[in-house]
Amino acid sequence: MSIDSAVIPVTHYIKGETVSGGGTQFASRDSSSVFEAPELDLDTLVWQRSTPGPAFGVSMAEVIDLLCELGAALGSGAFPHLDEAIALTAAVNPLSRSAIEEYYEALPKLFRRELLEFEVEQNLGSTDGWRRVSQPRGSFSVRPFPPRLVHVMPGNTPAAAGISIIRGALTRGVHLLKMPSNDLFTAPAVLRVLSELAPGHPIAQSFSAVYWRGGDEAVESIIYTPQFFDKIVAWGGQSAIRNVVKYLGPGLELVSFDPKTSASMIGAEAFAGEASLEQIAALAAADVSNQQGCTNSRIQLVEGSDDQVDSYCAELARQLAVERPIVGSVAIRTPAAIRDEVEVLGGLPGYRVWGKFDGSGLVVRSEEPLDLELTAKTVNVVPVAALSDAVRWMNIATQTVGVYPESRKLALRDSLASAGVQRIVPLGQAVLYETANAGRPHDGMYPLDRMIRWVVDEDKDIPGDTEEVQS
Amino acid sequence: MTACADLIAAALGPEPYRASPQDLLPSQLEAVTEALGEYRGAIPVLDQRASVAGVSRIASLDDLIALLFSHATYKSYPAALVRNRNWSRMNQWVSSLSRYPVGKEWGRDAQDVDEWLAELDAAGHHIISTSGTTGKCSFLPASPRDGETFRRMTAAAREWSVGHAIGKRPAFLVGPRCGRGRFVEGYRAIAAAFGRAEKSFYLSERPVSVAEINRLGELRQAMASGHARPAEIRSAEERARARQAETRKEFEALAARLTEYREEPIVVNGGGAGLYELVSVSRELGIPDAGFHPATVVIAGGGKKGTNLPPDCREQIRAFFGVERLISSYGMSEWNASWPQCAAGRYHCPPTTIPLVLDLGNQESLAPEEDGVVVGRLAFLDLLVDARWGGLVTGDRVTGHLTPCPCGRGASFTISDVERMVTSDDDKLTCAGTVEGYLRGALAASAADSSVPPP
Repeated sequence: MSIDSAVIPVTHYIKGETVSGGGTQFASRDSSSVFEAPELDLDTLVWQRSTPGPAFGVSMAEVIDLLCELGAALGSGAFPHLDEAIALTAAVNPLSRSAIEEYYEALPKLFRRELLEFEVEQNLGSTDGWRRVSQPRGSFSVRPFPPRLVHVMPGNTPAAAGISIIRGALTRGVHLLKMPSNDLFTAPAVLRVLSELAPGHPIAQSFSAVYWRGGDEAVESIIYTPQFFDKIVAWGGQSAIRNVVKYLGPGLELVSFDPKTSASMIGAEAFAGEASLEQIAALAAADVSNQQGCTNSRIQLVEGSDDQVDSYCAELARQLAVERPIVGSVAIRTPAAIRDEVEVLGGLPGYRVWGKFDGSGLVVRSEEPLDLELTAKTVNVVPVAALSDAVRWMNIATQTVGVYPESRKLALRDSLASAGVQRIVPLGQAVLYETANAGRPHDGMYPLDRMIRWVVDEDKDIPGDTEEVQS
Repeated sequence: MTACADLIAAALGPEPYRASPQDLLPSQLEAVTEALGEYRGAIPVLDQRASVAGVSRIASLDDLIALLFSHATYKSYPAALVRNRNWSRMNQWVSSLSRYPVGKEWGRDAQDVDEWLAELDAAGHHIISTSGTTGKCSFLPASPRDGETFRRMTAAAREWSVGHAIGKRPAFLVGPRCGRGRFVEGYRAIAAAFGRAEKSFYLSERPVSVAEINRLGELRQAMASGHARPAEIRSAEERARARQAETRKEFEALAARLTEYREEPIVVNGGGAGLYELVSVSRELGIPDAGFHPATVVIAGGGKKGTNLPPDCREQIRAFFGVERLISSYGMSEWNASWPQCAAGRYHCPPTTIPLVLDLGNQESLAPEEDGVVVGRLAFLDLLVDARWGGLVTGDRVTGHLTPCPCGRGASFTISDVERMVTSDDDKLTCAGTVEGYLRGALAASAADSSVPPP
C-alpha cells in the first residue's frame, strides 16, 4: 500500500506515558511509505527485577473491573485518537480502512466480564493469589505469579493488541509490546485510553508499546535476556520467531503462536440436501474470512463425486464474493505469485479454477494440495473419497479444522489431533475475532497458563513412612 | 517484424547503448505488439492473460505490465508430477508456456528429471532450469535459437566491456562444464568465443543435477508429511559435506593449472563467489598476487547473493589477477542478452530489451521518477527470447539513471548486491504458515550446495 511521501508519525506508549516526536525513520519494506518513531531509550523499556512490577499485588477482581471499563471506553467514541489510529493503521496495513474500522468497533466485545472471568477460571483456576492444595503428605500453595514478558506482536489483526493487553493485564505482570511495521498504532492507542481512564494505575504502568525493526541486534541483544524478561510471546511470522530463537536459553523461554494453515472438511452429507449447498458454502466462506489470520480456512477437503465437488466449488466462489463482516467483498488483490501459478494450472488436466484474480474469491480444485501459499481469498479444494482420507493432508501447521456436518467431528477428532491439529470446530465457526477463544486452549496451550510462572510454597510435611518412598 | 529487426541491428552494432529509453520506446512498443500477436497464438497462458487484461496492442509500458510473467509462472508445475514421473503431464505444462509444442510421449521412459530434460533436449526443446532456494526448480522453455542468441550476445557484451577483440586464449571457467543451468551455458559460451579448444579448463566435470536439487525438495516433503526418517536427513547432510570436500579438491586443481599460464594472456570467467574461492585457494597454495600477463581478462559474474563474502572481495579478485578492472555484466537465466558494465561501473540495457522499473509496493505500476532516477523492482521484456514470452517480473531491486551515463552512453542501471528483494518480511507478521515453512530452516544448511558456485 503506497501513500505519498509524507512521513507517518508513530507514538510510543511507555509505562503510562505517551511519547511522540521525531527520532528514527523507517521505510516500510514493501511500500513507499516511511514512518518515524521516537528514539528508544532502552533503560525505559525494562523493569528491574530488584523491584516487583507495579501491578504484582493488584487483585484479579480489580483488574477485571478495569478491563470492563476499558472495553466500555473503547466503544464510547470519546477518544478521538482511536480514529487517528484507524487511519494510520490503514496507511501501513493491507486491510481496507473499513475492515480496520470493523475490527476496532469489535474490540469492546473482547472485554466482556463473563469472558474475562471464564478465561481466568479455565486457565488459572478460580482462586486469586495463593491456592492451597492438600495431599496425603501435607499441603502446599501455588500462585500463578506475574511474569515479565516481551510480546512480539502481529499486524494481521488489530484484535491481537486487544487480546495481548487483556491477557497481559490478567497476569498482573509487566509487558513490553513490540509493534510490527504493519500495525504500529493499535496497541499504543488502546493503552493510551487505559491511561486516560485510570491515570497512574499500576496496570497502566505495567505496559509499554514501542517499535523497533525486528532483528535489530542493537536493541534485542540487550533486551532479550533473562536479566529483564522471563518469556517472549511471539506471534506468527517465520522470520520473527527466528529472530528471537537465538536469544533463548535457561531463564528466557519462547511462547509462540506459530503461523498456521487452517482447513475445512465437508462430508458427503453436504450433497444429501438437508442444508442447501448455498448455506454450506456460506459457512465455509465465513471460515475463509480475509485469510489474514491463523484460523482462516485455506484448504478444503470435500467428500463427493467430481460433479458434486465442482458444484461446491462454484458455489464457494460465489459465496466468497459476498460481503461479510471484516472481510468486505474484496479483501486484498490476488498476489501476482498466486495469479501466475493458478493461470497456468487452470490449463492443465486435473485442475479447475473458479472466480477471478481481483481478490473477490478464487477457488482452485486439484487432486492433491497445491504447493502454494494461499491468501487473498484463494481456496484450494481437494476432493476425497472419505474424510478420513483427508487427515493425511493435516499436519502440525494446521490449526483449525472446520467440519460439516457437526456429527462427523466426533469420529475425526482424535485422528486429526494425532496429525497435529489443535482446534476442531463446526464449519462456519472458525473465525475468532469476537470471542478471542476465551477459556480454551489456543495453538495447543492455555495461553495464560503458559505466560505466568507457577510458584509453589510448601508447608511442612506430615512425618510418615519414608521407607515406602525410598524403596 | 521490422521494428524488431531494427532493434536487433542496433544491439549488434558498434554502439548499442547510445540511444535513450525515450528514443527507443516507440520502436520497442511496436516490436512487442508484433510479438504479442505472434506469440499469443502459440502460448495459451499468454493468450488468456492478454484476453483477461483486455490488451491486444501495447501502446505504453503500463499495457506491458499487465502481460508480465514471473518466476511463479515457471515454477507452477505441480511438484508431484516430477516426483511421480508423470512426464506426459509435465510435457503438457511445458507446452502451455512454450511456442514450440512438446509431444505428450516425449521422455516417457525417463527415470528422473535429468533424463526427461535430456530427452526434450534431444528433440530440440531445450529447458533452462534454475534452482530456487526452496528446492523447486523453475523450468524455462527455450529453443536452439535462444541458445545461439545467448551465446552471441554473451560474447558481444564481454568484448564491448573490454573495448577490443579478445581473441582466443587459454580459458579458465570457474564452474561446471556440464549441466542444465544457463550459467553453465554461459561458461561454455565464453569458452567457445574466447577459449582455445584444447586449453579451456573448467572447475568441474561433475554435471549439475536437477534431480539432486529436487531430492532435497522431496526430503522436505517427506518431513512435512511425517514420513522422513532421521537416517534420510542424516544422509542428505552427509552428501552435502561430501560435495563440499570434492569441490575443494577441484579448486586446488584449477589453481594449480592457473600457475602454468602466467606468461600469456588468459581469460578467466566465474561468479563472484567462485572467483573469490579460487583466489583464496591460490593464495593458500602460495601463488603470488599479480603474477599474470597484463592483458589477462577476468570476467566476473555479479552477485554475492546468500554468501558470506567480504565486502572487498571484488577488489581482492582484481588485485590477485593484476587487472585494471573486472569485466562484469548483469545477467540472469531469464533473458538472452546480459547488460554489460561500462567503465563508469554502470550496467547498460540492450535496445532489444525493454526495461521496466516497477513500484516497490505493488507490481502494477511504474515506480515514480525523481530527478532522472527511479528505484524499484526490475521487470523486462526481452525481444530476443524465442521459445517463450519474453516478459518477466524479477526479484531484483534496481536503480535506473535516466540521464546520460558518465561513460558517455545513454541511460544506465545500478544494482546493489544486497538489494535482492526479500519475499518474506520479518517485520510484518502474518499468521499464515505451513509446515514447509517450519522445516525450511531445518534444511537450510543442507540446501546450500557449494559444489555449484553461484554465477
